[in-house]
Amino acid sequence: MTRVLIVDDTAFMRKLLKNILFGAGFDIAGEAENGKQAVELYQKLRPDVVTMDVVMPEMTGLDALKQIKSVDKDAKIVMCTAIGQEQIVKTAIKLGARGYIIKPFQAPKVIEEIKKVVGA
Amino acid sequence: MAAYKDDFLQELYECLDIFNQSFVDLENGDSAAINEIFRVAHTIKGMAGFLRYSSLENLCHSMEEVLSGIKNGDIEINSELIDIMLSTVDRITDMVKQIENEDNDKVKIEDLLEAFDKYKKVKDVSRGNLCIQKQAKNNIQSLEVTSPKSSKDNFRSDPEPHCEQQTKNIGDEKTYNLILNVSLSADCIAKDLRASLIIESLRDICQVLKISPDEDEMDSSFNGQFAVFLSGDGDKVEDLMDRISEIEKFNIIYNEKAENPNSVLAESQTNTLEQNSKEFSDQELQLDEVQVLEENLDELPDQDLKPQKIPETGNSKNDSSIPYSKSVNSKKMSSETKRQETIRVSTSNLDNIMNLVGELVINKGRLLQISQQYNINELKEATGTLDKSISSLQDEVMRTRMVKIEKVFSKFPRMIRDLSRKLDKNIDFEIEGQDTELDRTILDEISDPLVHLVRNAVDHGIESSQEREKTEKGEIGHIKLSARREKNNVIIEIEDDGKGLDLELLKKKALEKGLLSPSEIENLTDDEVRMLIFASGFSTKEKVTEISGRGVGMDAVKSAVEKLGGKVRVHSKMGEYTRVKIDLPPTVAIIRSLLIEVGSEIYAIPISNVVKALSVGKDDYKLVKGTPLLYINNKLIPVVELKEIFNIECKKLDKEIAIIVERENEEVGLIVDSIIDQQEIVIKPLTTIFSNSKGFSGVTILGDGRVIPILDVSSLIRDDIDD
Repeated sequence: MTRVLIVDDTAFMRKLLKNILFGAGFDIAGEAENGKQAVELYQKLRPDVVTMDVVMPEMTGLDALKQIKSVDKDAKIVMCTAIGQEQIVKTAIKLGARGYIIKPFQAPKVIEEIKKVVGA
Repeated sequence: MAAYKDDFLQELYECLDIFNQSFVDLENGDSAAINEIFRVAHTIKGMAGFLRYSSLENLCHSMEEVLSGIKNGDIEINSELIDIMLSTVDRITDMVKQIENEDNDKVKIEDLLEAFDKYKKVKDVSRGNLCIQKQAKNNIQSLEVTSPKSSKDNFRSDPEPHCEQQTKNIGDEKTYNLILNVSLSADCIAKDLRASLIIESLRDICQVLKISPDEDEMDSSFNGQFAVFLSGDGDKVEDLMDRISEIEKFNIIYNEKAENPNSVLAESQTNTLEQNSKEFSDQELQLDEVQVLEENLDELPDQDLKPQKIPETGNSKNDSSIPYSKSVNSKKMSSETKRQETIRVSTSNLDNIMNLVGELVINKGRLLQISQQYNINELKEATGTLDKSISSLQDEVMRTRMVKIEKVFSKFPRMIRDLSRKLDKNIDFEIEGQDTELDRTILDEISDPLVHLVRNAVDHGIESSQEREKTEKGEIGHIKLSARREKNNVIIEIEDDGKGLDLELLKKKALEKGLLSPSEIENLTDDEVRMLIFASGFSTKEKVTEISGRGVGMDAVKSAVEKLGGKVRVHSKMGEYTRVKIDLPPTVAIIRSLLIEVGSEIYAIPISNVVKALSVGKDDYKLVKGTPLLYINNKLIPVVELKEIFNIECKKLDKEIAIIVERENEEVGLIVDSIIDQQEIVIKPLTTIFSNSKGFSGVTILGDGRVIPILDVSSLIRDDIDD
């Protein structure tokens, strides 16, 4: 079963993603509220895929992506962003993000993105 | 989506707190605060988008754009802009209330959008200049190499010689063996991003030699069709394309002459390629159409290009069918619960749990009593263990109810900012001990009194800038709000370095208002005079201001604190400082109490009210003007006979117990027959019929089922002594 680490600073968004991914048969490996936690949890949990919010306190999604990629270059990270953050996502893609979803997203889009990224 | 509304609102309230704090930080010169404000605006926008609160979304989007301009240095921040943004925060607050009550965000935002637009235009102008400069620079570059970059049009339909040259260059450097044509699905929101993702992913597995249109030209208006010239393994490219979403279709064209280093693209081929690209983009690629494409290529004068494989991908229709199954869901739920480190619980759930723990504590008391009564060892052992478990459970539940005081403190910086502007005072505000935790109920109850005290410090405490300039203290006033844990209690202090309390003025006012007689005022200690500010109907400010009201507040502050089982004190030195100290118990639902007996009746007195308890006899009394007063350690203490107050008929004992309690810095002795026990009791509020009865703050149920009134010491002795 595909294990997902959800990273977002709002509980609202985490709940939303969790419910969507649950319903689609994914296993939620863990949740992180900021980039720093995400890096820690990634190393601990080694999830199959990470959904990574961009704008977060303590450490941004972009910095977390860099750090995760430095410990695991094959890490599969899907950036989760809102319109207006395209440039950052472009940078994230150059740094190795394997997918992105744009808020407000629809469940099927999210599921498709994650499935494609993990090759399920 | 309705299921998410509560989470949304809770999150919004947290966002508003951060907003208020960050704006004050920003004004205090902390430029990093802009990032935090940006993040919060972005977060709200994201959530509002999901729940279709479009006004809220638009407003936050506008604000975010301006903030982004500030971050990039395109827009200069000034106090007008901060005011607009603060008004936005207020408007968002209105919207949150509207969403909470009416489930819509219909609040006027046009004025704010307009205000933001004005700044955005400034930004666009500066951006526009930037674009022109950039373009000019490109032109120079083009001139230098005498070969302008191929554009989308060049590649598609305008086979000018420069295009040929460009393509040849590719061939010279490294021969491509694959051309990947991609068409993104129509509903793909950011096509340029998706294209970037595809290109970057391709770079991981093969060499990308050329992209058409050029990657730099892909922007938000990009139509989603592009071709990539590659050198690598076609199968790998195909695998990769299957792992990227939002691709309507793609095809891979194999260049057989790739092995030949001299292989170059002839103009005619480029032409056909474009034709193919056009065909590809113009129609749905059906199998028979693939045939047509092949025929087109066959007609080429030079048979360099042949499509060996034209795989077709649909936009993964299967994936959108999500297997929703209840049994599957519930199974996964359990595995998820294990992994979660935190969950959100509604406060009503916590209240229910607290009530149930209260019931357990009562029953625990009952069991302990029974086990003592029957003296069975096994039962004693069992109840002993149960006692420990219940105490631990109680501690844990209490802990879940604890909230950081930051939740209340965080609204003050913004408040002080607004007030000091309004009153034209320059104030430096300091907060300490935000991490101190308090029971949620206490925190809710203490919030308003604290607002009042802080307002008072700004309004009555700190002098005007002009007045301050005349003193050594300097123009800037200081207010410090702090919280800390002392033993089991939580201490909150509000201190200002303002004019302090004028004792003579306080006495004068108390006389004028008829609160005390001249002789009573003469007998007051300085501390007692200061405490006059908490008396009902007391206000020394000449002018009643809208800020701190009409002097009803301080009285309310005191009763609110006392209702929570706490104490309030004021310390001050004229011309130097005023410090209000609030001492609160950590929780209100379960308190430690003395159980006392008067005649055949039992009452509970909260330990927090008790200074000490003494055994007293006839010799300990002195008659002063016909009134018996306790004379202990050379001090006269007035007494309240509970027997008399509650009309309990029984004879006066030779040895009684005086429970010494405090009343406005003055000690009062409550005379009772005996102390039965000291134990934890669960407070049950008085219901409607009894809610007006004076002298009681609630009742509790003892282990044997007896209902015991809890004495509200301050109101009880106030009424009696005043009488």
